[in-house]
Amino acid sequence: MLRPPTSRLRLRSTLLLIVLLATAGCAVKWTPFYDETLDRDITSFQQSTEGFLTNLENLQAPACTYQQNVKFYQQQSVQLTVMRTRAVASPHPKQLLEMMDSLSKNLTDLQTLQQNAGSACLNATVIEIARKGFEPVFESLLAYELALKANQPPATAPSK
Amino acid sequence: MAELDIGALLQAMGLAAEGVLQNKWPQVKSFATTEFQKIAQTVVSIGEGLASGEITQEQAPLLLDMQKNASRAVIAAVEGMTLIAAEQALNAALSAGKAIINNFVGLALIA
Repeated sequence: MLRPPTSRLRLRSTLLLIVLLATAGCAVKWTPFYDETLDRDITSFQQSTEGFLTNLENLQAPACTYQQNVKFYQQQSVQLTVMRTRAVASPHPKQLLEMMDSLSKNLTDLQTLQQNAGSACLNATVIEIARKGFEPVFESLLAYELALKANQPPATAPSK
Repeated sequence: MAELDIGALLQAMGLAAEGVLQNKWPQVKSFATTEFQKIAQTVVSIGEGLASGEITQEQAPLLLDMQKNASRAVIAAVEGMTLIAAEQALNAALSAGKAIINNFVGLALIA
């Protein structure tokens, strides 16, 4: 037997109300939580990378060679591992990990550039373009961190 | 008890979501545009450096690879920021729905 139209509408409204009641009290979470330590680590990583490139621009051989700067790459590699560990600890870290992968690959490319230069220094043009390879990655990470920070729920005032 | 106006409820939820997206999307778009412009300029610089001899045939692919990696990072950031905006929009819509439902039933049925 067909239900009359008003009854079908009432049934649909009731079902929608049930769905809304079930979901309206919930909040969806598709993104990581803001991590202040990771945010600081990213800035620190940027500072050390920029410091290294600036230093490299002013060094003469052999101080500018890869052999004399292995420690920088080792330290950055360790720092990146620590940062990845923090990123993975948060839910939905996919985009953060992709940006960190880009950072890691650029570091490897810079390392290869310096290794291939042998006993010579990288010239100012190459260093500047290498710098321009890092800048969008850092800007992406920082823009994303700022967006995560702005997405935080408001802090509840502590009770007296 | 009067019928819950489902149309009004959905409209309120839609407006709440739209408000968030209209506010957030221009920032994401602006970020992406700026970053891709810079990457494009750098790719041109690599070509110029190669032509002038300041960049060697060995160095050029590595420098280009760095720009590709940079592009991937920008895309990931745009994807991430879009997800944040979508999350905020949906939560705003759910919050608007909650307010109307509570008003309809006359008490704070949903916290």
